[in-house]
Amino acid sequence: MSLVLEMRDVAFAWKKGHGVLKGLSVAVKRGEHLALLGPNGSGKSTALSLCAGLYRPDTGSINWYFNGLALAPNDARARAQFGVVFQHPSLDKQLSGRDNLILAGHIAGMARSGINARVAEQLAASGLAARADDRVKTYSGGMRRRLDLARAMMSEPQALLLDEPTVGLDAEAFDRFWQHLGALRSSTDLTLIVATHRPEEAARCDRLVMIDQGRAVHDGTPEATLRALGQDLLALRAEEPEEIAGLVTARLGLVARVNGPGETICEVPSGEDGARLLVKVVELFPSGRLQAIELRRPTLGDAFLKLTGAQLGQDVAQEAA
Amino acid sequence: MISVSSDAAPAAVPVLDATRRPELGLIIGLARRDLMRLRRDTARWLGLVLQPLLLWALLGSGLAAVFAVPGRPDVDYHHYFFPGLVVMIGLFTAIFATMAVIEDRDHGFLQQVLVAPGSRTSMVLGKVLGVLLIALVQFVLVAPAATLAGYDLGAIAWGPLVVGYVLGVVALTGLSFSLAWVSRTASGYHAIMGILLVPLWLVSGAVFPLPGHGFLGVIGYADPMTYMVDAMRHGFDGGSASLAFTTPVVSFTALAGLAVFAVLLAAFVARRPVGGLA
Repeated sequence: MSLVLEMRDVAFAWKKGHGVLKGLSVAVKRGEHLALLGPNGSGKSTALSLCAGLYRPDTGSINWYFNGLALAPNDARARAQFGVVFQHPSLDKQLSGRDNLILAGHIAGMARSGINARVAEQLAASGLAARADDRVKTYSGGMRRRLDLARAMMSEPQALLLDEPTVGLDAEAFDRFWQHLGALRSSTDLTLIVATHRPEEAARCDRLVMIDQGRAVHDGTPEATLRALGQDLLALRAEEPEEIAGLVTARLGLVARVNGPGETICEVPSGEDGARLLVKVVELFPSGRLQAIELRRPTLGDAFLKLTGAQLGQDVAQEAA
Repeated sequence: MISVSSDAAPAAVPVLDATRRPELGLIIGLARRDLMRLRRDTARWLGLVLQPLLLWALLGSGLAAVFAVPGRPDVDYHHYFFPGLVVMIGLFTAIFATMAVIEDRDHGFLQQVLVAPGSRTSMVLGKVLGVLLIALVQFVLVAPAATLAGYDLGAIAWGPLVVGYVLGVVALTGLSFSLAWVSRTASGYHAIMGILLVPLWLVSGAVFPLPGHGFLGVIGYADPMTYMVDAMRHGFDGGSASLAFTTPVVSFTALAGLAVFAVLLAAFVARRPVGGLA
């Protein structure tokens, strides 16, 4: 399968000595849905901005491949072929949803004759036809996201860059947004590159690249990533997670990690009965020491924690740089 | 991370759809947006006409007894101030409309423009065209009031007047856009406008006659808005006004040069980062 985008050894710093990306290499195949998974500040949004041509890498190269040509991100021919959904919807809230899509058609350089039909198509696809003439400022967060996606799809792009597209959405709006993306996938050969810190979002993609401190630390399918993590996990809630992790490791020989304030994660060893181990852990501590304990399947967030020692929900200090 | 061979063999096949027109599309899109916003927010734009008109009416009445142009006892303040009022409307429109650049940056709209296939120059041209269209609507609304200022609508040189107004608004928009682009906040932009463009309007001969010599005279020649005020005076007075600081040739030539310079400046400035964006 051919490539649509390739980042090779890309480094970028907002200011000298504060590198956000430190030699990131990612290749994306045509039609693939790729997640760049990492916590805030890991560099994934910056990577997307570089792919969109908003900035230029300090070193390394980024190329889009369309119709047999290798194109730089700021090449107008490349920009005509990819769309971007930004972390904050790129909409004019004073105007209606319909007006925003009409504008997007013009801005993308579409012929006037084709704009109205495409607007109607996108409004129907995003489920916003009934509210098309209302001002965007009256839309809910989920509706704005869907409209922003429709805006990015106005020019019928071959690839779409999505930067934290569901941030701030509740579960229902999240599902609806991804249903919409799923429908797009079934009807087009659209390539998606999604920067996200949400494991459940990355799990919906074909492949994920985990980014930590500006570097790719893992590349694989969500399924293979979870398989590699192995068995179930025990999640322990307690006031002193470091101490809990140390005790569990010392007394029961389990691999344990602190997962943020108040939580310790223990891996259930292969061949061990998770339920039986749960009882052993409960018996290890005096009554009241553990606030809660749960036996669950590992998530991509657990995989990230295992690989990097960092949580996905955690802000990384370099973001401020 | 993965090794997949690319299909990027050099080819002469144009990627861009032949039916697409990214530059024209961006210009039309941005200009159209300003008109859409005018339609959605008519009161705001009418306010930019009514406020100067009110100021003109009150100042004209208040200063009637004390204002006099040396050697021109026939000129009252309503008459004198009217060309300056028209410039003020163009100036306010340019300031408010280009302030949207900062709002767009803060609220996200600008991002879709920055990743569009069209160039930054087209972005500037689209913005300038949008502001110009709004300013022309306002001009149509305010021009009939010239009769109240003692101008004969039939004697006005409409061609030069409109040309001067268009050139002036283009120049003011280009300058305002450049300042908005480099301003980090809306309040910072307001401050720059307050200490730069508004004072320039005050010393342009719009509010009081400029002396031909001395400190104010030098400022008058250096002030780009002087040429717009003079172009308005020439237009309203049938092609050549004795109240103008400069001749019609000088004012229109300077204004045309200024308009070109301001647009080029805006296109140049727009190539650099805006706030946190590239």
